[in-house]
Parts: sequence; structure tokens; C-alpha cells
Amino acid sequence: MSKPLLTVSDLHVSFMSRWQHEPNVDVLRGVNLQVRRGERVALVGESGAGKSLLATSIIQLFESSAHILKGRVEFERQELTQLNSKQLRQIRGRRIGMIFQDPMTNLNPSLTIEQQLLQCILSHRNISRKEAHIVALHKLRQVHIPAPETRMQQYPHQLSAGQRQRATIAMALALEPALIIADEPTSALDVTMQAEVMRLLSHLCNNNGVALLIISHDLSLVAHASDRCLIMYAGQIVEQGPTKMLINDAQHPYTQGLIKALPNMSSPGQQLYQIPGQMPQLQELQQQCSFAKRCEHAEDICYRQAPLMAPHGTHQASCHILARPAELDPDTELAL
Amino acid sequence: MMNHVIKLLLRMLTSCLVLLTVAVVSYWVLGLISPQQTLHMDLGQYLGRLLEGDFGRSQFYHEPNLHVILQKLPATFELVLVASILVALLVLPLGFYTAIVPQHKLARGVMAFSLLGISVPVFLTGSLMVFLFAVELNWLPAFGRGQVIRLGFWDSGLLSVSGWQHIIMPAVALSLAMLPLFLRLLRAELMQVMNSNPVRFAQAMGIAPWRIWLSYGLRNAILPIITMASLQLGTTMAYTLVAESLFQWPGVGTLFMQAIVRSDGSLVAAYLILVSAMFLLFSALADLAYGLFNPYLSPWHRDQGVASKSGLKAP
Amino acid sequence: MNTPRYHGHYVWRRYRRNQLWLKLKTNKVVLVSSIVLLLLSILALLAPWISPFDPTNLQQQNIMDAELPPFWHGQSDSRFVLGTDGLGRDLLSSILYGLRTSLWVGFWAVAVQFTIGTLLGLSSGYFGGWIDRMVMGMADFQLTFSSLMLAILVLAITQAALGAQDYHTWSPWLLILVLGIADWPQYARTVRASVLAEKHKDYVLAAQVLGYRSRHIMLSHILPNTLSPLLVIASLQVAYVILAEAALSFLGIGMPYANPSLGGLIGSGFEYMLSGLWWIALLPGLALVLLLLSINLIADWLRDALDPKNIGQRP
Repeated sequence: MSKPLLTVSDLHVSFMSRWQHEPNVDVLRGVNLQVRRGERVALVGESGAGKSLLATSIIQLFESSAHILKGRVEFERQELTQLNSKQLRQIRGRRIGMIFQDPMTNLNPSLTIEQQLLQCILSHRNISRKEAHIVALHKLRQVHIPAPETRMQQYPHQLSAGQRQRATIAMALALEPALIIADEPTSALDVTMQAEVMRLLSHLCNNNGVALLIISHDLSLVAHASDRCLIMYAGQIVEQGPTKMLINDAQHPYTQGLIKALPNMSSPGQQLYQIPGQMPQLQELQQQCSFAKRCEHAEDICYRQAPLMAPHGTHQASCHILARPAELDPDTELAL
Repeated sequence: MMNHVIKLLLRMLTSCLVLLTVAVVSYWVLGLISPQQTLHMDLGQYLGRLLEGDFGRSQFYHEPNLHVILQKLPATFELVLVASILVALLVLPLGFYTAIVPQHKLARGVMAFSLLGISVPVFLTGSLMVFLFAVELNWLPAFGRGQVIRLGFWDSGLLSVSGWQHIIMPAVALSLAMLPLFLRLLRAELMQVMNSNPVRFAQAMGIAPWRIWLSYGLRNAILPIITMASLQLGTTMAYTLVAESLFQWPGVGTLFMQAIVRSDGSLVAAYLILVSAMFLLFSALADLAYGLFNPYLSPWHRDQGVASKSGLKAP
Repeated sequence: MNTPRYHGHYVWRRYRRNQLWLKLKTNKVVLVSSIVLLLLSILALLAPWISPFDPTNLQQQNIMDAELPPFWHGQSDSRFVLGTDGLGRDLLSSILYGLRTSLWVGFWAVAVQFTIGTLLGLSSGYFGGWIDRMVMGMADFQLTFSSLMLAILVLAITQAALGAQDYHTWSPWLLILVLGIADWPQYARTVRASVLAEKHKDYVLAAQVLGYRSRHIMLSHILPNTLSPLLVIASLQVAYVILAEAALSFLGIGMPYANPSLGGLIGSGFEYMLSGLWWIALLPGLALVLLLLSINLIADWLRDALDPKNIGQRP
């Protein structure tokens, strides 16, 4: 088996508290994940689980108060945590592309699309402006932006939301990276655009052999766009495996809850299921299963010891109690 | 395009209305200070003369007011020019320095110094400088403008050594009064920009830091600076007046104060009108500059901050 | 009707929860500034009782006592700890009275600004319509012209119109009036923005449904929520007004000679400085700087401490 493109091992990232008497907030508490070349991986979890932080931590882009406590991030045989900023800059954008959530707040409002694309391209490649312009145009065509020549000369606020996001996808693909990390790429778009953009992204990555790590809170959205799926809860990965199997045969109670909560086409009018309770404040977590309080199957051991990731059935989950197979009606059509 | 033209016309209309109001007020002031001037001239006649370019005759100088004021204008203009250049030269490097590495001892020192700057009024810095450099050390002259060289209609003090010796202290005092404000603003803006989403995105794309500082930092900090500069026009005028008074600088500020003391109502009235006109002109220029740097808004939407729309101020 | 002030009470509790006191205690610099300010205020308040001489009493001044240096100089007189000015007035007493003047003018002018600005801003935001347009139009107009420049123009012209003698009998009150009226727009704008935000919230609707009078709703319900930014503006304005009064007195259009002002002392002491008698101008200058610096430090800190984005962060 070839070595994975990206390996995150036991990553712990926490926010330093400014108050003297308040403890630090551990957001990522031992995250392990792998992405293979050309693979499309989805990372799913609710807000606050630490997904975005994981995305920026991989490329070592930390806010002033966030610190990496321990763990390793290995990419293309380089240990990213050990690199200096100059070396990191060569990897960012060029080998790992990034797509953020809301293009309106991420694009520079005072530069045209072309200027931003060119800045990105020329920072990494030693080509002339003319050549870079051609590359930029090509990428914009790839993301199906109509009339790319005109659009390039416009400012972000003159484009529609969908076009802006396509432009950021073009920027991410511009240097033909090996991996693209997309942090909630469709959350700022309306529903009609979401599926289309997701399809586009998935398609482009597939065609060009680019690995894709999609982060989302919407399981149904990524179900068709990913090969493997990881479920994140409270700073840890609680279940992972091939997407289809994970959805059809969820083992971890949280995953089961997520799936149960999806709108169900075959029984309209029924009340939507909600996982009771809320994700715990990250400061409150100690040596226990982070999901224990909300879990309907929780037993004594769940409160005393944190479970480890272990294979269960077709994929892996971390749970003390091998959950009973999800009680899903085999005829159920999930609204995917 | 039509929109722009209409806005431009509206702008000119409001400016004319403002000038008209100022003219009426100055007529009233003329009556207050030198009642005999208004005995034989009613408001209508006064306004009519203004439209013809007749701003009256100074009771003290016995020359047309316009002439007197224009004679003193170069002095004030050069003083403000040199002070502004000093501020511009200092604010950019200091602003970037204190924003990029705020924890450096020197950076902290600069910020402490700027806090001191707004606590020491311009006439006190001026007094200190005069005491130090003119009285104690005798390096620089305390008063006046020095040797002045005539260029057509303009008397310039910037072309002679003595002229520079005379202008340096007032200009430095004035710039020290204006610098802290702009420095703190630039630093705050830069720091906010560097924490914004677009910058994070640029960093994620691996763009070099200096490029980010220039095209994100500077670009987006320039607009609030222009806004602040136009808001500070009046304050600059006030500080210049005080500085002129202290250094006995023969500019329009001292001219005004002298006219007050001599009850030269005609000159005071003319000064009011001309100063307001200059003020409106500079305001308009600032708006124009703002529009130039801003792809978003047409030049006449000054009150709609770009910051609220850009997302560069992270919500 | 005895209406319970629930909402205001809730807001005060919010201030305490903000741990303002804790933040103050841990910031050494601001703590020292507060103590210095307190000290200066007490000295100023007690000036009439603790000054060795009465600087307002022109009979007490003897020209033979003029130009004596402070106590650490050889030729000093033990009666005059900090020396005397050009006309024999004790400098220590003058400085104490000057501090008193500064704080008095600062307090009252800001009180006037605050009241006018808040009331106009509240009405403008709450009632909307033509009231809003008119108030905001005036505010915009005034904001473009600096308050200091306006004050200089208005006061100078008044002096020219009334003559120096009459002018100076009224000038303390005129100062407060002019400085108070000049700067109300800042408060009005801030309050108006808050009111517009709060107006649609449920608690206002509830109060309206319960039939409370508009005035009551504005003052007891909406105002407490908009207090923080207003306090910050007020604290910054105190420093600004004190500086303005000093500048105006320096120019000669502020406080009269008999009523010592720090700015006036610097102004009249300036000439003596050129002959080497530095203490007449620079000691009052030192007092002024101490006063302004401590106020500015506290105001700056207050702005950061009350910023809602900073709640819960280390002071």
C-alpha cells in the first residue's frame, strides 16, 4: 500500500486563555486521519467540533492564541510541524490548496479576480504575467465561470455568490496541488448552488487526481462527493470508514444520531429527530467518552474512560459499547 | 455616469449654500466689529460685491483684503506642507513597524511617545523647542520666516538656508501634534486587517508576507486615513493658527489674530469667507481621493464606510 | 407612577460582571494615572484653601517680587516655592488655580455636550422623521468643521466685538458654552446608532405596549444600554476640552488674566522664557501635561475595557 499523502497523528491543539484563572481550551484532542493520493475524504461534524481548526492546523496557520501541543502532520514525506515559515509558504497554495467558507469575506474586496489569481500564481511560479494570465483564464474556464475574460477584470462584489466560490476553487486549483482542503465550501451558498458546486469540486479533483478533504456539517451533502468519511465530535474523530458503508452501517451512537436526524423522504410529515443535549463545552471534557452525556446507550464505563478507535464491522469507531446496528428501515430512502 | 454628474452638481450646490451662509454671517460679523462699515452698505450690496470679487478693504493695511490674505497665504501653506510631509514620511514606516511587531521594546516606546504626543499641546512642544534650540543651544531662530525668495507671485521660504532654519521648528512642532493621531489610526487599521479573513486566505495560498502587507494592509488602511485626514482639516487649521501665534510666523493665522486685536472687521469678514472656501475645496479634494482609492463607492458616499461592506472587518 | 427601573438595574449589574474593578487593579499604568488624577483633582478642588497666595487678588501682587525662580535656585524667595511670574504672582498658587480652572471648564463643557448630544441623539433616533433629518444634518455640518477652530473663530470675533475688557468678564461662561455646543454631534451620532439598534427590540415594544411615555422609555430603558460608548467619548472629550481651553487661553481669547489658566500662564510666560526665565511657562506646562496624560491614559484604557468584544479577556 503506497504511503498516504497526508497523515495527521495524535494532533492536539488548544487555545491559550487570556485570563489567569481560566484553563486553556483544548479544541483538538488527539486527531488521527489519513488522506491518500487522489482520495476524496469528508470530515463531518457539528459546529464547534473543531473542524475548521483542524483545516488550518494542517497547514500550520494558527491564530495568535492557538497552539499546537503535540502531534504530527506529515505531508508528502515532510513533517509540517517542523518547517519554518518560508518552507511552509512553499507548500501552502502550491502543494496544498485551501478553500474557505464564505468567499465574500475571504477575497480581497479591493483587488480584481485577475489580480488575486495572478498574485497566487506568481508567488509560486516563475513565469511571466502573460503566461500566468493564460493559466488563470484556463482555470476559470475549468470551473465553468461564464465569460471568464470579463469576470477576471471585475471585483468580488460584482460577482454572484456561486461565481465567487468558483473563483476561489479556481485559485485553489491554479497551481495544481496534490491536496485541496475545502472548509465548508458550500455553506454560504443557497441550496440550489450547493449541490452543483460540490459536484464540480468533486469532479475536478477526481479528474485531475487531486486529493480532497471536504469539511462539512452536512452529511447528506458530502455523501456522494466522498470516498471515505470521518465523523468528528468534540475534537476527536469518533468514526471513520468508506462513506457508503458508514452511512448504511453506522456504529458510533453519534453517527447513528446524525443519520437519524437527516430528513427522511419516505415518511414525510414526521417530526425530525434531534440528538438530545448539546456538545459539551470543550473545557468540561475529561477522561471520558465525550458523547456519553447525550448517548442513549451510555453505561458506567463511558463516564470513566475515553474509548479508543477500533475496527467494528466494515469501518472503525471509538465506542465502549458496540452499538446495536442502527435501527433503520431497509426501505428507507435518505434524502441525499 | 448620470448618477455621478447629478451627485457632483448636488455637491456644488450644497457648497454654494454653505458659502452663502458664511457670507451672510460674515456680514453680520462685520457689523459687530466695525459697525461703521455696514452703515452705508446693506447685505445685498455686500453679497453683490463679493460676487464681483471685491472682498473689502482692510482698515489697518489700507489695501484690498484679498490681496492682504493672499500675500500671507504662502507662509501658512508652506508651513502646513512641510509639516504634512514630515507626518507622511514618519507615519508609514512607524505605523507598519508598530503593527508588525507590537511587542518590540522600540515599538512600545513609539506608542508610549504617541500617547504623550496627544497630551502635550502644540504650543507647549513649541515652547519647549524654542527654549531648547533657540534660547539654550542657540541653534535655531525663534521667530519669523527668514529669507524669502520671490517666485512670481509666491514668496517662498523654502529656497534659502535661513528659510529652512526658520521653518523647521514650527513644522516639527505641528507635525508632532498631528502625528500621534494618524499613527494610532494606521496601526489599529493594519492590525485589524492582518487579522481579517482575506489575509488568512492569502496566507493559506502561500503569498509572501511583504506582498500581503502591501496589497492588503496598505490598500485597506489608506481609506480610513484619508477619511481621518479630511475630518482633521479643521483641527489642523486650528493647530496651525496656534503654532503661527507662538512662532510669530507671518501667515494667515497671525493675520487673523492681529485683525481681531486691531478690530479690523473688514479683514476678519474676508478671512471667514476665504477660509471657508478653502476648507470646502480641501474637503472636496479629500472626497475625490477617497473615491479614487475605492472601487466600491462613488466619490460622494463619504459616510458609508467601506469597512462595513468589505468583510475586512471580520464580523 | 412609580415605575420600577428594572432595565437600568440590570445594566449596572452587567458593569460589575464586566469586572471593571479587577481590570483596573491589574493594570499598573492606569492605576497610577488614576491616583495622579485623583491627587490633582483634590489639589485643584482645595486650591482656594491650600494656596499660599490668592492669584486672583491683584492687590496681593507686588512688582518687586517679580521674576523670582523656584526653590532649588540660589536667588529664590522662600515664600514663593515655585517662583513668581513677571508681575509678582506666586506660581504655585497660579498653577493650583489653573488646574482648578481646567477641571472646572472640562467638567462643565463636557456636561453640556453630553446632555445636548444625548438628548438630541435620543430624540433623533427614537422619533425619526424630520427631527432625525434636521438633527443629523446639523451634526454632519458641525462634524466637518473642527470644534477647536469653530471655538477660536467664535470667541475671537466675540472679543473683537465686545472689546477685551467686557469680553473677559464673560469669557469663562462663554468658553463652557462654546466648547459645549461645539462638540455635541459625537454623542448624538453614537446614541442615535444605539437607539436605532435597540428600538426594534422586544423590551422597547413591551414598554410601549404598557403605555410608558416616550421620554421615560428613552431615558430609563434605552439609554442605560447605550451608556458605554458615551462614557468613553466623554472621558476622551474631557482631555480635549482641557486642551482646547488651554489653547484658547494661550491665544488670549480664553480665561482672563485674573482667573489663572494653565494655557494662559504658558502664553504669558513665553516671553520671559526667551530671557531665560523658563519656569514661568514650563512649570504650568508640566502640570498641564500631567493632567492631560493621566486623563488620556484612563480614557484609552476605559475604551478597551468597555469594548463588548473584550469582555472576558485579560485586562
